[in-house]
Amino acid sequence: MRKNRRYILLAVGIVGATALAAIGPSGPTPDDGAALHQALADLKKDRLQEAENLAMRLATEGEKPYPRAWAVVAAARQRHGQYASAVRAYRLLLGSTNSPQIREYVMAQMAACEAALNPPSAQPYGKRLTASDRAELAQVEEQPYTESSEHFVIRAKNSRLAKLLATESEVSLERVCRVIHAGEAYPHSVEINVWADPEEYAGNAKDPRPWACGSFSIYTRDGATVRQIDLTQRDKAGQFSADMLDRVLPHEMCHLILREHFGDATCPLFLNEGLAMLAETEIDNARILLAGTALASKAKIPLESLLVRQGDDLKKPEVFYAEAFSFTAYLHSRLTAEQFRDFLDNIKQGCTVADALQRALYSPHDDKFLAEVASAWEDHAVTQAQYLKALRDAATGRKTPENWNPR
Amino acid sequence: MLRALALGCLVAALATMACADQLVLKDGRAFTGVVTVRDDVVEIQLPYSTLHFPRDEVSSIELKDTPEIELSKKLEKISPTDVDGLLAAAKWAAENALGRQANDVYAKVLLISPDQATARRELGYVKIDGQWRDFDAAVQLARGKLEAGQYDVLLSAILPSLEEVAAKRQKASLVKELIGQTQLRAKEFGDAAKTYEELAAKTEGVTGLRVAAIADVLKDNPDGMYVLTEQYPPASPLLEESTSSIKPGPASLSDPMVLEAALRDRAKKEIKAGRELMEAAQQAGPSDPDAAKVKYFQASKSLDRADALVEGIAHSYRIEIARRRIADLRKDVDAEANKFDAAMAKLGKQEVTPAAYREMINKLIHSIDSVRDNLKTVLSIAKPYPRDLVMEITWAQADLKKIESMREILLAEIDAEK
Repeated sequence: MRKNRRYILLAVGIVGATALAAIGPSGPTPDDGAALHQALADLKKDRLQEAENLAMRLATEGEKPYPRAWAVVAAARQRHGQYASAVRAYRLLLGSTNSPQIREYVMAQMAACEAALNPPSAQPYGKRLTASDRAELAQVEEQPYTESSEHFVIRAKNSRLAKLLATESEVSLERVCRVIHAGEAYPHSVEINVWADPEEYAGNAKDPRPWACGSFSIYTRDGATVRQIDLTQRDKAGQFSADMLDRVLPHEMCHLILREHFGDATCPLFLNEGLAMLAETEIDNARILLAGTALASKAKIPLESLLVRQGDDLKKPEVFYAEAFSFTAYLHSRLTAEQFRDFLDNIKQGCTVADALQRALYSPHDDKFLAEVASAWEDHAVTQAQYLKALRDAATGRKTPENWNPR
Repeated sequence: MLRALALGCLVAALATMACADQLVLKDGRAFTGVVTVRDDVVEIQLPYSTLHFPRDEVSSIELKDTPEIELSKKLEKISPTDVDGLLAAAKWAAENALGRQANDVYAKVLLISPDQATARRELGYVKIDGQWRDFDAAVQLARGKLEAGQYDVLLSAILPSLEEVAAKRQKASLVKELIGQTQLRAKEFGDAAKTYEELAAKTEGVTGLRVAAIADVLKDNPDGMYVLTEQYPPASPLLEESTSSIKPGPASLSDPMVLEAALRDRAKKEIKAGRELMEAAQQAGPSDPDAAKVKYFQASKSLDRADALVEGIAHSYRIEIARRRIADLRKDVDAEANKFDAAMAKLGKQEVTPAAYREMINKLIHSIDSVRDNLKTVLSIAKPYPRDLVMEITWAQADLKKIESMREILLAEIDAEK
């Protein structure tokens, strides 16, 4: 009943708003105009309730309700964290506008509200496994099983693991596509082979890496392109490798998709590795801590060097990986999905990182831009590390010096 | 006494001017200047030249006072302390294209009566807060008042006075835009829209594009509310946390940053259009270089419009176009250089007549000239971006040097043959 009432209200709202959209570009009456701008001033100063009330009155009351005021109502609610009611207001705004730009904005905000309402599961799948689950998943059966999903064909010598990977691969793919492709669908099929242990992996994987327990490859078989990921079921101790699910699978999947995305172009190492680490299910706090600590010390790899480092000139690989993750995560968190996709496309076209970012942001050219980004990122990374250290110390009962700063 | 002396000097200066005689030719043409008759030639001195006509071509000569003489006669009759008389004389001078002399007379008026409003206004002064200020100082003060939020006094008193003065100083657009900005800040969006429309109709170039875009923004958003799709300034999410940035969402165009954001959205559309043209040019390049050149030109126009709205926003795209055009020219240079090398290799390996030899050398020089032209074009394309295209410039300069010396050798060879 409550749900029905909501739909009735929504329908009334949409009809009212659509009918009133005919007011068109003449604008509101002078009084309503003043009220609208008061609401906008309130919104700017984060007086969200006042902004919402004023705009709501404009949008619904009086002789000539003013549907564009739904934009203020929706934004005030969204900034207030009232996502469901913000979506309702956005729908009413959507029904009253013909502006492609506003429609695009509304769709993006509705998606952001929906995402805030349905956050992805916080706990990685590997962490949710019980001891008996792990024991079962560690079993290697005689016969290989084949399972498939929309994008994957999985072969493993454990039927439960094969089924589990069919589901988790799609989850990982969705996350990787969210990171790289701004949510666009992946159009290919990938073969996943799960080898029983590191030895079997080293002996049978298409392109095994001695230091890793997973790898990806793209090659031609019978004239067709094959996309393949090789994984390892058990670690050296013979235990089920939960990392394979939470880290290795999304990491290698990200490399594979990036390789295809970039084609003949070169993806800078920091970005390739940073994105692969970002695609992993769980954030590795050790990387954040190391990046912040390194940036505040002599161990720091300055951003300009980080951006051009190649695999063969890594003197401090652990610092490189930590900083690569930190910087990529910083960019990803600060740019919109569309901006991040543009950034990757610009890099693919051969732009420098500074140009690629300025192009993605549609920001005027500034010679000092990269230096300013470096400074802001370093501050952010150091603060993050400080915060983590304080949390860790609080958990272990150690006292953090009052003004502790890794710098 | 001093005032009387000054006025006397002014009159004397005016009196030295010659008469404004009118010369009418038999073919109907008429000239005004100083006429002198010498034998069979009539000479007329015009402001910037002197003309001579045979006497039999002249229909009539009428001797007249020049406006300068007339003004000096008027001034002689006016008492040096007669403000009204001087004002009338100054007005007459201005109406008779004697702007400088009119200003001199107005200046005399101010010596007698420093607060005389007409003389002040005619000399470009505007009264703000009880004080007369010259045009530039008044504009500066008006900007200060705009920042201080004193919109009422600006719109009701200061800007109308400034507008009047600006019209005479060819600075009407500057004040008109100040009026538009004030109307926007005062949330008088309808008036602002009209102001910017008028301004757009009269203004050309970069400013014209910008004001036309503002007029367009106001036409699309007559309520003065603009919906930002991204945070502004655009780079703020990546830089220091800034409290002055604007979040995505609805905002008032009375905030100058919101207007900047709206212009930047329009610049973004221009860049997207430019990018599409650049892609089309790249695709057309191998099969139809001329079509590619046209597309690049069109892309540059889109980028120009983007830069007019947000200065420097299209910088990296311009460099990309320059790089691509240089790469295309380089291909031509390489092809020509290969042909040149092949022709050089043949020299001296076969016996030819002196004429045929000269012909071969001439062909080589022609080939070198073609390469030289391409390299010069490379340098002209790269010239605006010396830092970004340093390699392209360095290579082109080095090649050009080599080519010049090779050309000299070939020319010397031809001379030796002679």
